[in-house]
Amino acid sequence: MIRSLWTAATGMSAQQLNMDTIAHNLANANTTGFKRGRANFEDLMYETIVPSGTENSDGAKRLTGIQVGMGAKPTAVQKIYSQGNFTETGNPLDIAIEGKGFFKVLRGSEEVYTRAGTFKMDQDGFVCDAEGNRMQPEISLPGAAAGIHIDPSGKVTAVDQTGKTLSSQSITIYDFTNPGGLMNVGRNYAVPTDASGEAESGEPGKDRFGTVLQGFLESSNINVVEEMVNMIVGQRAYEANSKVIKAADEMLHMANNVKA
Amino acid sequence: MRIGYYMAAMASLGQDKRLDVVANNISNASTSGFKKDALYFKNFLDQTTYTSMGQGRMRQTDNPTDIALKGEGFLRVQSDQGIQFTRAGNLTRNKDKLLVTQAGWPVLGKNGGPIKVEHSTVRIDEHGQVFDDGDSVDTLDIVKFPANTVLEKAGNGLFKPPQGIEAIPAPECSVQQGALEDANFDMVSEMAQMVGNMRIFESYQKTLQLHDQLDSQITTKLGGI
Repeated sequence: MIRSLWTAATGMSAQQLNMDTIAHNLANANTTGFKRGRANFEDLMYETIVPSGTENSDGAKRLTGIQVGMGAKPTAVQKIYSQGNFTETGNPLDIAIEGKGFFKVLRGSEEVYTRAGTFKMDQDGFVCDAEGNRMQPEISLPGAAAGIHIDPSGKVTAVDQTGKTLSSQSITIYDFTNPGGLMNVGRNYAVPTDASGEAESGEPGKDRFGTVLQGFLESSNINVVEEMVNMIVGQRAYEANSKVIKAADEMLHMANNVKA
Repeated sequence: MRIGYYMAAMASLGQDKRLDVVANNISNASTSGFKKDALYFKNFLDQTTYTSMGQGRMRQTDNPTDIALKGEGFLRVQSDQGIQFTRAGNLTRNKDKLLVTQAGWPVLGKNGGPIKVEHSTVRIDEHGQVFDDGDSVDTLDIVKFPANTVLEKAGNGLFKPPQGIEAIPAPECSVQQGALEDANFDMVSEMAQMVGNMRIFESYQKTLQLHDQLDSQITTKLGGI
C-alpha cells in the first residue's frame, strides 16, 4: 500500500506535466509560428518479487512471476512541427514558411531560429523581427523603395515608384535533422542543441526546404478542440490517481485499526 | 485458530499487492504502448502477475514519426541492455538521422541495423517499409514471440523475452503512421477492481479482528476457571 501511494503520486505528477503542457499550448493559441508541445511518458522500472521459472508451491515451474511496476515518468515534452494555418495580413514584410525551415536572427551575439515571420524594417533599413533582431544573413532595403516583392524562393526585390528594381537579395532559411530536439528559449526563438543537430542552410523551395509566402503569417498549430479533449482526459487520469492514493490510505487506516 | 489468523494476514498482503498493480496501471494512463498487468491468485500463497497484451486504442497524432502497431508485434530496439522490444511508437529522428525511441535507442530494421532517414520527409507504410523522400530505405523489423511466451517488463516501455526464446517475424502486424497506441486498460474496470480490493481487504481485517476477539475470550474464560 505504501508502494501504491508512491506509484499513484508518479501518475499524478505525470498528469500535472501533461496539464502544464496543454495549458502552455492553449495560452499560445494566437502566437505566430508557435508549435504545440506533447508530453511523452514511459513506465518506470518493475520490481520482480518472484521471477518466472522458479518453482511454485506445487513444485511445478512458474510460467509467470510477480512483477510490480513503480509508476510512470515523463520522458520528453516533444514539439510537433506540423504546419500551422496561414493568416493573410497584407503586410509586405510578414513572411510565412510553407513547409520545413526556420528564419535565423541575431539576438545580441547569439544566433536563434524562429518560424514567426513578423518582420519589419529597422531605422537603418535592415529587415528585423518583432523584437528588433536582424534577419541573418542581413537584408537591407533602400530607403527609396516604394514596393517590396518576395517570391516563393525567397528573392526580395525592392522597387521604386516607376517599378525600377533598386535591390535584389535572397532570404536564407535553415533546417535541423531533429527540430524536436531544439531548445525553446521563449519569444518564439529556438536554439540548436546536441539533439537537434547543426543548422543546415538552404534556399526556400529547394532540397525539401519550404517556400516563403509574402503577406501571410503562420498561425499556431494547436487545435483547440484536441487540446480540450486532452485536458479532460488528463484531468480524469489525475483524479483516478488521486483515488488510488485515497484507497491505499483507507486500507492503511483499516490495518491500523485491526487492534481496537 | 492460528491458521485462520495467518491466512487472513497473508490474504491481506495479497490484496495489498493487487492495489500496487492497479496503481501502476492507472499511473500509466498516458504512456503510449503501455500494457496493463493483473495479479492472479491460484491459492493464497501462489500469485502471479500477468501482462495483458491486448490492443490499445489508436490515437491520431499526425506526427510523421509516430507509429502505432496494430496486432501482435513489437519493434526491435537496440538498448544498452541488448536488444529489447517495445510497442511505444513515439519515435523521433536524432541528429545522426536515425529513427530512435523517446529514450534515444535506435529502432532496428530488417537489414539488421538502425534505420537512417536522410531527409525529413519520412513515410512508413502499413507493412513497416520506411521511405526516405520516396526511396525505400529499410523495413521496420516487427517481431513477435512463439505462442504462450511470457515477456518480462524491463521498464521504460521495453519488454524482455525469457532466455533462449527467439523472436519470430510478425508479418500480420500492421503499422499506422501518424498515430499512437494508447495504454490498453479501461479506467472504469481498474477503478472497480480497486474498490473490490479495498472491500476484500476490509473483510480480511474484520476476520483478523474476530480472531483477536476469540483469542482474548479464550484467555480470559480459560484463565477464569
